[in-house]
Amino acid sequence: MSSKLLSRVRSLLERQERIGVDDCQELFQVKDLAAIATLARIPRERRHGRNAHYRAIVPLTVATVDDLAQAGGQLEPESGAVGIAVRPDGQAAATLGALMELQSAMRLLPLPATLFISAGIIARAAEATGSSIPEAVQALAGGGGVFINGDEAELSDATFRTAHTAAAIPFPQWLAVHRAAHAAGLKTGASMLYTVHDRPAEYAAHLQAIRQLQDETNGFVQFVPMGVQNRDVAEWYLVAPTAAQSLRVVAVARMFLDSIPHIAVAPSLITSEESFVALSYGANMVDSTIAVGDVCSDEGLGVAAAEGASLPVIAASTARQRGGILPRTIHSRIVESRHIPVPMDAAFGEISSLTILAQQ
Amino acid sequence: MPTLAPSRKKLRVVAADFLNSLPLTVEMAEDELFNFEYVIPSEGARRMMEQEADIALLPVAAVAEIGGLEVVPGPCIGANGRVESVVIVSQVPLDKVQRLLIDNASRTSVVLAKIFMDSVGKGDIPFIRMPGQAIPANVKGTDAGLLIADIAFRESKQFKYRHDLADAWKRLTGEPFVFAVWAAQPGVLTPELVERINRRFWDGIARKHQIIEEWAAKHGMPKAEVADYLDERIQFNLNKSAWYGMQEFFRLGSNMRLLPDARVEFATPQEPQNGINTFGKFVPEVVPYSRSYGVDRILARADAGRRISIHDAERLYLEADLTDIGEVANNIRNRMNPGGRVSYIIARNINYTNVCNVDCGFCGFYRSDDPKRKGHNEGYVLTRQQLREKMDELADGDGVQALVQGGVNPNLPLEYYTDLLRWMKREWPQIQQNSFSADEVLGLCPNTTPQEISAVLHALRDAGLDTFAGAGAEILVDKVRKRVSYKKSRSAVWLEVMRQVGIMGMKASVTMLYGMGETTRDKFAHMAKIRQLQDEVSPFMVFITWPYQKGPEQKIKSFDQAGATYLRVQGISRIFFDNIQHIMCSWVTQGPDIGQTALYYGADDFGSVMFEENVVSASGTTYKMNANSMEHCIREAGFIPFRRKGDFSEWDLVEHQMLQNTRVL
Ligand code: SF4
Repeated sequence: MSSKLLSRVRSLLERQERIGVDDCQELFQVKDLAAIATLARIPRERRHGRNAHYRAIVPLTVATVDDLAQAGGQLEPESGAVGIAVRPDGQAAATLGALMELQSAMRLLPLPATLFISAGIIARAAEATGSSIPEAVQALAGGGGVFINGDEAELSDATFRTAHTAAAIPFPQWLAVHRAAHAAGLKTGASMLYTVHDRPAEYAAHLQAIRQLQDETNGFVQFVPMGVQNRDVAEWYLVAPTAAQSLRVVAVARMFLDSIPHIAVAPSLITSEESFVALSYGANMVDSTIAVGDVCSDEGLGVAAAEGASLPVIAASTARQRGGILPRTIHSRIVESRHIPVPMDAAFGEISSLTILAQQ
Repeated sequence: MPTLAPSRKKLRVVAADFLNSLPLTVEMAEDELFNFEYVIPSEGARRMMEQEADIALLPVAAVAEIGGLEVVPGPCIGANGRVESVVIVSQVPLDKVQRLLIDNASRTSVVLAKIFMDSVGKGDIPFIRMPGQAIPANVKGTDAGLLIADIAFRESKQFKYRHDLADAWKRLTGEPFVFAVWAAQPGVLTPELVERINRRFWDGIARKHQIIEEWAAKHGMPKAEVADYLDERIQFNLNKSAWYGMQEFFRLGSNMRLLPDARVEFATPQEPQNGINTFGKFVPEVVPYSRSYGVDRILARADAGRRISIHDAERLYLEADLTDIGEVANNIRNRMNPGGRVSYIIARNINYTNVCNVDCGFCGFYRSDDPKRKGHNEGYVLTRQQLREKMDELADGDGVQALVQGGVNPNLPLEYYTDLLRWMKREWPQIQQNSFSADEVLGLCPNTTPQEISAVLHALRDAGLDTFAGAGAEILVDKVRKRVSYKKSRSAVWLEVMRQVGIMGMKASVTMLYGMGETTRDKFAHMAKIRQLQDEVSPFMVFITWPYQKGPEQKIKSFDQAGATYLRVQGISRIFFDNIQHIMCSWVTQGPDIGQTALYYGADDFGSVMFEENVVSASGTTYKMNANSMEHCIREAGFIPFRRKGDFSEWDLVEHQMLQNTRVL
């Protein structure tokens, strides 16, 4: 089955034709990762050659406008960052007004800042303010400097969402926010949650929903797969997809999502070293702006326990995973992985490597 | 005037001072353009391999092994028929011969002998290594011997059956056999330099009479015999048919998996008309596959089972796609270890002492016993009670192997080690001992002679050492070793310990610690030395590599830290080591994610679950996995996990319990 599937997919990719949902589902079950990687490189190299992108942006999570001013003052100019990703939390994310206030305050920061928010934040803020989703999106788009990331896409499957990601907005609402954003001229990101137990059917259906919206709007600029894992405890025990699973998801996403420009990996989610390896498995972007501990561990533990798995217990030094990666480290790791580093600003515009390196 | 390398005044030229090389070298040695030195052939090959020489009169096997070299057209050392200096002798006809005794000093002759034996239907007989001088006395019964150089001249006539290998080659291929050529590092040769080397050669030929006189006087040989050898036996001209002969040697050597792929190509498409140099001589050039083709060709040839050269490995490291390396490494891994199985072991490190007088600059584990040195009061030697606790913990976890390793503690005599091994074997008979590094052994050998090393290893084995851990290889290139660990054994001494391990039939693991600022060439020169020793005496059952990780206490800076680089190096090692069966991944240093990915890069072994580790963790690396998480990782990668013993055979619970019950109380 596998070799027929692989040769069928290869010929589709070489002819620049689409892979069907059934093939996508089957690809998620192929254990031969080398074969999957070889296929994923066809669209990856066609689109990006050997380029590997990264955004040298400092993430700032803020609960109030005051937090923003305070945190902005502590930024180290020698970090090599070319921008700031402002991630609102709590009060700062509660209403449309709070978000717009944050947008205004961002202009005072020492580096160009972008409001990084999820569809869920927008939907909840709109509801709290009594606005419709298109109105909320329009208002934020008018304020400038906003990027709607893929958070809360989770998995489109309703059963999964009810069981494991109940706090997230419903998937149709997630799609609605992104649709509205694309209509307002915003580029946004998409994501998918994957778990320690493979869910090929759910993954394929989720990717299909994203591809369909992209066909409709062409507004997604990036896709980031997110493994469910726990890293936010002092001596963390990880229940997470393995590297093989992560690389497979990256590769299949690259093959299936033919109309989304960037397939990104987040070092904080699949370990920093593995993320540079993923550049050879279909990813073209190492996106370091996603903060450590974004995806809550309890889900993963819940999934594994619910399915009666014997939990793999893996402990690792936190030193390599935490504390973010400096742009110069990203740059040199990309070079070491035999790719060409291409830094970007928050709006996915390419900037010169010299801009980054000169600041360090 | 010839162009000189810009950074040096003189080109470094090396050659052996054999009789047959003197016409090529006698004038070169006197040319002020060159910094010329006579060295033994293996040292010449080493210097070219480690880029410490620019030009060498190099045996052709070394030309293929190193790869990427440029060959000077014109002169060579060859033979167009009988040569009398490379002879297989026996007291029985060839069809009765059961073993061939060889001296590994001449790799070219050994490969030629293998080709010859294969051509007479004796390709599968074992080749037994011994010192050249000892071979004549041991050629008896059904044992044949390969005699080389003056031993061949002196001794071959006493044997009933003699097979001159150059003559056999001529009959086999119709071409002359080329033993050695002038080879240069890429970019060194210019037309002027080639012309100069050729002039020196013809000037040397003009001094042949003088060479004969002096050699005969110095070695007490009849002049006529010396003259006959140089005039009648040796062909000095690298003519067209000699080039074809060399090409055929590369082809057969590569087909038989004895040499890396290399081949002769001609400088121009229409030969020989356009291949005429200023001396009216035929001008071909050797182009290794790796230079005339892309890295995809190197990978395809490797995938088809061909050996790769050092230069090929360098090109893969610098140019190949990571996943392309992985694919070929995985294919080779599946051929060498079929069934899609990945082994792991339950073992533990026991660092019995951290006292060490070697002072490696990359080591954060050791403490000096010098009272003037910082931290000397933190030195320890574990007590029997502490050792017992660790061994009991290992036994309780169904452990099968102890890796007893420590510093080179000058206060511990050989009896300490033999007593320790005997005690452990007595108390925990089910636990195998895979212990000690080459430097711990050398710490017990004040004179570092092969005999002394062998005696210590025998004492350790008699006391219960099952396999030799063999750590401490680091990078087997002395300029690197001197920089990172001045007092550590030099590479030849380290290899001698492993040679003795192989000779006594014990098995060992072999490692590479990279990322200490060594060059790409250094990495693969390291691998080449290991592969060569494995060809000789097969001491190694597994290769493991990992990058040096700088901790707070180490002085040496770290490089090449990316996980992608680790996968690249490990994948190339699987491709390079066609003669080492197992590759172990280093999840201990790389973490479970890269460790699992390494299974797609040639690793068929996941190493050990970790009870305790003090050496890499001294650099801040503290990953831990248990058997469940390992099996999960292996399964998720699509492989079948199995638990193994120290010798890589499958662990068996019943056998384990039986052994446990043999404990002497
Ligand atoms: S690496 Fe080994 S030999 Fe070197 S200082 Fe450390 S303990 Fe001693």
